[in-house]
Parts: sequence; C-alpha cells; structure tokens
Amino acid sequence: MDRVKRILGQFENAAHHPGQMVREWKQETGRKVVGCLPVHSSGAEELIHAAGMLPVGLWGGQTTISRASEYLQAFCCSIMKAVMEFSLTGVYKDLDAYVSPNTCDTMRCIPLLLKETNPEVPVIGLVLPDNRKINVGVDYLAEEFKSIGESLSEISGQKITPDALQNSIAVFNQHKGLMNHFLTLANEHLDIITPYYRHMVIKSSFFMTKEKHSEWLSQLIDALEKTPSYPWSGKKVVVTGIMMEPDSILNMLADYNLAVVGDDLAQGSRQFRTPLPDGDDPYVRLAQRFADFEGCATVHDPVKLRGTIIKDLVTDNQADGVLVMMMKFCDPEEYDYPYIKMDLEDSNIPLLHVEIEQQMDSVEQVRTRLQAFAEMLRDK
Amino acid sequence: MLTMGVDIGSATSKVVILKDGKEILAGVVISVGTGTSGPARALQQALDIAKVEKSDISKVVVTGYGRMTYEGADEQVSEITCHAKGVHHLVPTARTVIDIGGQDAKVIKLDEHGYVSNFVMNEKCAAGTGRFLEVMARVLEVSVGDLESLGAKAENVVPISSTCTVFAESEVISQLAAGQKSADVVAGIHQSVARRIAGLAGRVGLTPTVVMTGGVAQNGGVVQALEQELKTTITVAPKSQLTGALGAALIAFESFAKATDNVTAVK
Ligand code: SF4
Repeated sequence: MDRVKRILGQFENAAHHPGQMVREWKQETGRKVVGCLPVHSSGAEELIHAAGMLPVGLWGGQTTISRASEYLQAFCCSIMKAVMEFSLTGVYKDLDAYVSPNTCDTMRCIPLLLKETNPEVPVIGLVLPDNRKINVGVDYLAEEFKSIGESLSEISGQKITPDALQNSIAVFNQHKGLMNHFLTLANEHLDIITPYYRHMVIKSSFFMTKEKHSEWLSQLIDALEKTPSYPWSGKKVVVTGIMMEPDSILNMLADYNLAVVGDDLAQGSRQFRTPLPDGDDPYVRLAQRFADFEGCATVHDPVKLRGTIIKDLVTDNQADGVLVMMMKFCDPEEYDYPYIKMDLEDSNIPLLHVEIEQQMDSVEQVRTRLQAFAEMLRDK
Repeated sequence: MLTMGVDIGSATSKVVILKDGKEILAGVVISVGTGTSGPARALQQALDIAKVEKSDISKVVVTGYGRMTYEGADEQVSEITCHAKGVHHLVPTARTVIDIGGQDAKVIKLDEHGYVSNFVMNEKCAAGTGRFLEVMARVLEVSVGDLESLGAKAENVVPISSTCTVFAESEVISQLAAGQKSADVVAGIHQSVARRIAGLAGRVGLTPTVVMTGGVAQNGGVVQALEQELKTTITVAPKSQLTGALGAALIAFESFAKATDNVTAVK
C-alpha cells in the first residue's frame, strides 16, 4: 500500500508541475519541447518523439482569464481561453514549437492567434481529414504527417528516419497498452485509485517522456498486483466528455462514494484505447490509427458509435451510471449529447449532465448535482 | 420519536419538526437564508411552536444551498432528494416536481416509490428563479407578493423576450417607459419564468401528477402561465415552501428508525 501511494505521489507531482517537468527535461537533454494542442495531436506526438523532442500536452489549466479575452470571444471554451492566456502571459515560454490540430471551430483559429501573439515560436497546423476512413483520407493524412515530420525535423535539427519513427510508434503503443492495463487494474483498487489519483496518472502522461511514464506505470502495476483487491461497496460511474477537472470535482466524487470505473474522456481513454496498427510504412500507420479510432465528438462519425462505446463501458465495468462532463461552450460535445442521452436512456442507464469549465470559481452547484445523483443511484 | 429537517436556501430558512415520521409539529419559514441569522431563528421558532427542546430531537438532517456550512445537523442530503421525499409524502401520486426557489430551479422525476429517477437544474443563472421575480418587482415598485394580484388584472400579455435577468430588467423598464400597463408587463414576466422552466422540464419529460414547490409556487400567476406553457395541470404542494425541510425530516426519521432497528437486531 505504501509503495502504491509513493508511486501515485510521483504521478501527482508531475501532473501538478508541468513547467518544472519540461525545464528539467530540457536541462538534462539539451533538446527541444513541442506543445501539442487537443484533442488529436496523436500521430504528431510520435513524430516529435522520432525527431528527438518532447511532446507536451496543452490542455489549458486553472487560471484567471484576462488577456485571452482580447483574442477569444466569450463563447469559446475555457480550455482554449486558458491556452491563450498561458501563451500571452509567458507560461509557455519553454516551448520551442506548437502542433495545433483543427479539432473544432474554436481551434481552427488557434494557430493564427499563436503566431500573431508569439511570432518567434513556430506553429505547425495539423489538418485532419473528415473523410478519415476512405483510402484517400488515409493517403492524405499520411502525406500530412510526412510534411509535419519535415517541419519537425527542421526545428529539432534531427531528421526523422522510418526506423526512428517505427521505434517511436513501438514506444507509444507500449505506453497505450500499459495505460489500458493500469485502468483495468485500477478497478480492483478503487479505495486507493480514487477519481483524483486516476486522473493524476493519466494527466501526468502529457508532461513527460512516454518511456519514463511507462516505467512508472510498470512499477505501479506491479505494486497494485501485489496489493489485495478491494471490495468497493460504493457506486460506480463511467465518465465521458472532454476532460474532468477541476480537481475539486474529482474529490467530490470520492466525498459521495462514487468511483470512476471507466472513462470516455478526450483527455483520458480516447488517447489510449486505439493502438497504432502494424505496417511497413510508419506514416500510414499513424494515419490508419486515426481512421480506426472511434467515438469522439471531434471526429466525423456518421453512425454515432459513441453511445454504444459508453454502454459497453458501463456493462463491462458493472457501472451504475454515467456522468457526462460537458465542457461549457464545446460545440462538438453539445452536438453529441442528444445521441448519447438517447442511447443511454434506451438502455435504462442513469446519466447526469454536468456543465463544467476549467475556471470554475464556485463548484457548489456541481456538488448538489453530484450528491443528488449519488443519492439517486443509492436509492435505486 | 421527533426528527427535524432544516432547509437553508439562498433567500429563506425553513425548519420542520416531525413526530414519528407523520405528524408535522412545527413548520417555520424565515425570509432570510444562508449566512444570516435565518437558520437559527427558524430553528428556535420551530422548537417553541412544537414546545420541545433541541435535545428531544433524535436526528436532524440539513438540506439546501447552505447545507455544507450548517453545523447543527447529523447528516446532510441534497435538496433534490429532500424535495422528492417531501412531495411524495404530501402528494403520493406525484411523478414530476417543479421546484423554483430563490436562486435555482429544478425539475425532478419521481418513481412510484417517491425516489428520484431523473432531475435537471438550471445553470448558474437567475433567469426563471425567485431572484428574477424579485428584480422585476423592484423595477415595478411593488412587492413580490403583489405580483400575482397585479398580473391577474392584465388585459394583454407584454412578452419579455430576454432571458437574462439584467437584460430583462432593461426590457421591462423600456416597456413601462413606452406606456405599457404594469399589469400587462407582470403577465409577461410570469410568462417569461414559465417559458424558462418549460425548457428545463422538456429535458426530463413531464409525467402527471405535476407538483410545484418552492417560494415561487405561491405566485398563482406563474403557476397559471406554467400550466399554459406545459399544457398540463399543476398541483401546488401544500406547504410549498416547506417540502424540502419536510423531506429532510422524513429522511432523518427513516435513517434513525433503520439505525435503531439494526441495533435492536444486533442485540
Ligand atoms: S473543448 Fe471542445 S470547443 Fe474546446 S477545444 Fe476542445 S473540442 Fe474545441
């Protein structure tokens, strides 16, 4: 138990100090760092790794929005507002470049804003295709990754070879496998792997090398396997949405005896659940992963599989209900919600819609909703 | 056995003392809420009316916006669960509860046993709540309690299209400046609250019997506008402001009875 707690403390420290993690890495290696914007920088991250640099996830954070309002309208999501605020106030000063995918309407203007406000830092746009499943979609994306790879090679001064990229893909695939292993194992230790610590383990993966994170994950998995499993008597939920922050909300779940036993979060399992397929051409492998990926509001999905994916998570993990963490003003998520609601209601799965923002000064309304939902599940 | 329910809202403090989970010995509403002397005054008045001491109460459950900071209770329960419980006790056929309080509005779906099967609450916004009516009453220079009778004199409804309380306030001022009768404007205000709540109710669906609770339920003008908007009849809960506190007292009774049963069983 003590060993598990000590390892969790390492993840927590890394998740809370991204700046320090980045600076330490730069000092140790003398190499460059590239900021990756949400949701699908996957593919670019492997390329950054293959070019000998560190990819760092930029998912906003808790801050007061002031200067970002000069550039983003009130109806933009709080994640992008925080990203702009951090960029304008020097929080991202250690980044040597950005990769910015065209995830949603708000993000389409982010590369230009980053260039405008930080002209000295290169911004590489990643244009993901809507028609991602057809051959030309995969071919197009493979070419897009090649061109991004060239820009990244220039920035790092290290050419990306096919072998280096295949090696990076292996490192990332191994990491995805370990994350999935940990998340499965976590459900047998819901007393220690609270919603907060579950998030800390996931979040820290955005701020350090995949090799290091995998090493810590292996230690954590080993320690958990040696710990007797815990019979959880509280209720279990699956969470879906872009992300689940601030931390106070995660702690509230624990207050009301709710454990997270599965997630369909853009910042969570959506990053790990689809491995990169085998293949000889590493660029096609990167592109094919995006074609294989399912169930995210920000990628084109004419058959709307997300509801089924969430239902399966509920069944497989014996969850009692679903929390839809709705990032305020995230239009892709808002558009998906009616489908998810319909699918879950058809299967009689209780769900709670909770609107969240990264900059929440008061979480008491969320508390009432979560408490009432926990009471509702208890009385069911 | 005596139990107590304390419901501390943003605008009012309510206390109910219950005997054996059935008989209401006292029910008090004080018109100030969390962070004021309201909860302590409501508690003392309820004890005086019931002619009992605090030490005679076996269990206290607190609910409402101020529940997290209230120290005199054994347990705290969300207002959603408490309203459901209180309404089910008063109107056993209730399947939908519309509660409009000082700063929030909620629609709760109940199953046949009175348990919550779904609910929605308004987001951080005063639109469609008691606070909205208070602001409008101030502009019209009347008390909130007079809105109903004033609205009843309306010949036409002057629609208030802004949902935001701040914009609606300026809209009301410009309608009055344009010479609209205040009664007609009040009817428009009631309709505006009703439309906002109807949107909320649509998300969980309405199953009769629909029961309304909370301070705003005392305004017949809003109730009528809501009936028209939702195309259904609405039963105003008896003691509409006290349902949350009553629910809390009932939950206190059930959990105390269960705990003592368990103790007896162990013995
Ligand atoms: S949270 Fe939604 S709106 Fe914001 S960047 Fe992500 S996808 Fe776009």
